[in-house]
Amino acid sequence: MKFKTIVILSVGGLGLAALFWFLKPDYSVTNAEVGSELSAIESKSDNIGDQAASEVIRIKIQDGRRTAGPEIIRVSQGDLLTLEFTSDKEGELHLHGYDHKWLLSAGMPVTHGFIAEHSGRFEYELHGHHAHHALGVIEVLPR
Amino acid sequence: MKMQDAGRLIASLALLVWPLIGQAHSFGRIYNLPVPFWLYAWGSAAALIASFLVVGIFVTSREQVSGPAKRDISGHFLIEYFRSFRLLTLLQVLSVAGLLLCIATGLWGSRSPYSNFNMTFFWIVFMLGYAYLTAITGDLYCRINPWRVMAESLQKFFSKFGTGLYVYPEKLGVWPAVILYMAFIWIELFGRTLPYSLGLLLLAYSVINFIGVAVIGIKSWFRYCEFLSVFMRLLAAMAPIEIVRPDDGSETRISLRMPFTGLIDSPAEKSGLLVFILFMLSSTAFDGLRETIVWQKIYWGDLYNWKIQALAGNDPLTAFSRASQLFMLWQSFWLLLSPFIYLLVYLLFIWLMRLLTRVSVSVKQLSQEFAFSLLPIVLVYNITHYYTLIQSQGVKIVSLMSDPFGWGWNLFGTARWLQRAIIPDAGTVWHVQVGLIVLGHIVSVYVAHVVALRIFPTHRQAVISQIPMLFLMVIFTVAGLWILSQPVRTGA
Repeated sequence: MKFKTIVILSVGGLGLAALFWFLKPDYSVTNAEVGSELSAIESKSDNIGDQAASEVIRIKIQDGRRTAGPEIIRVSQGDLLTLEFTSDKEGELHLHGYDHKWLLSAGMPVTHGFIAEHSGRFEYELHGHHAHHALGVIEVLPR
Repeated sequence: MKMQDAGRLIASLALLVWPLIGQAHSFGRIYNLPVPFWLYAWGSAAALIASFLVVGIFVTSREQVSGPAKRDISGHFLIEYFRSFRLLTLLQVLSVAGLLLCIATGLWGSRSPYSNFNMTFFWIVFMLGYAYLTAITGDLYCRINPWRVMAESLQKFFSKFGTGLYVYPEKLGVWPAVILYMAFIWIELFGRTLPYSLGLLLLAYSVINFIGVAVIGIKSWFRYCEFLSVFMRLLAAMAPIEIVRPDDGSETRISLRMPFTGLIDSPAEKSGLLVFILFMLSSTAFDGLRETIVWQKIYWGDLYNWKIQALAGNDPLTAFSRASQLFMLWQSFWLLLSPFIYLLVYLLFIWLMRLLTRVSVSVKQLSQEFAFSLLPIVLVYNITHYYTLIQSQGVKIVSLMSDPFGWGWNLFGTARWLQRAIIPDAGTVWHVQVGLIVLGHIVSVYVAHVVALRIFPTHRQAVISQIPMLFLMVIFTVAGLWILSQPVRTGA
């Protein structure tokens, strides 16, 4: 390889690395910033709950559908997440990926707290008598 | 209730229930988060900058490009060693056994996709894992293709079976494979296959293979019609190992070469091959796109209000299912049209190339010369969309092997292994996705430049020819990144 090629490649490589370093947000500062940045490209920003740690998120389920509570619950990896479900019918909630299964009984609020240790996008479903309904999503942003 | 309100109700109902009907990929759950905007921006910028770097190197370099160097290792002692073990025969037996097991577990095993061997083995281990491996190990599939192995074994007993009744009209090229591939992807994306239907599907495809072989013979069938052979052959063109199976039946030749150099000397001469390559690209892009909110809104928002509502009627009981049926048609239409949209874009840029370089070569020939240079982009598109499935679901094959039917067996003692969900770290996934897309882009740009230097009479023409090609590849790459960065639709 010629000297010139090596120079071009190294300058290019360094430039790209510098650009990466410049663009990469500082995840350690606040999650809210990253969250708002994502919300900007998300069309339904009113439906997203950017959660502060230890806040209880209340979700109501009627007829197998989510009638109250955010569509997307967004937290950061390692956050404590507390969810309270109130369903008009009994059933089983399944959070995919984490593989949590929660039993719901009719009319009784059920609270579940867990640490969001895995980052990713996880749907939770209601396993009812006839159908599997995806009710909403928990998005765990990586640290 | 006013007409409009009823329509709105049905549209919102549709959005609520839709996830029951559609699902990403054929099988397995993807936990990926959309790539964040800053990384998308970096990826796009990197693709652009890297392109100009490659141009810079080629503009300043006056070196002659020699043909891709190869080293025949067919006679190497290691290869001879493997031959003495009859490794190939072993792989062939495993391949046929794998196919038969997939059919058997499908027909008689568990109905649950996650406890039946065939879903994980076929959709993930074979269609993703083995396909990516082929880009490294070369076209081993031409020797262990289960249908071909079975056909050749049959031929030993009925010598007439493999020769075929008719001569295949070669001008049809690989179009039969294109059609089969499209049907396959349609089933993959919309068929919602379950173990039983997958078993039936593989059985049906086996029957198609045997009929095909009986009609046009083994060689023509597996060269032009069996789409998995064409698919693997294309991926293998990138591999550093070249496996050539001579037509005269002599021993398979194995050579070593630099990775991706197999793309340089391979024009897509066969009719239909260019569309096959573009469909590999467009079907992956479509699968990503259809999950995004943007795409969902086009139909369930704009189009619904404009036309679908009137077509589906206002009866809340039937309107949604009618609208869903129409949605299926709409989706299928775009999937099948997608390679031709890509073809149109591709040909436009090839036409520009011809215009700028003022060569006498036809657009058709130029389009064939550069078709293979798109394959690195094709490969990274596919990997970035699906590779996490290997991590999260593919590894489950270890436990499924011990209990292929889901009947509670424990043949190898591994039935309880890897039971916990494996979730790839989202941050790692982002970086791998963007890194691979940029890398694939660079390789494609590089390969196209080398092809240009070989086919254009002057260095100047070669460099100029790559300006439109570069734009085309940047478009493909940024489109791929954009799809990865889009928010995907949610359950309810």
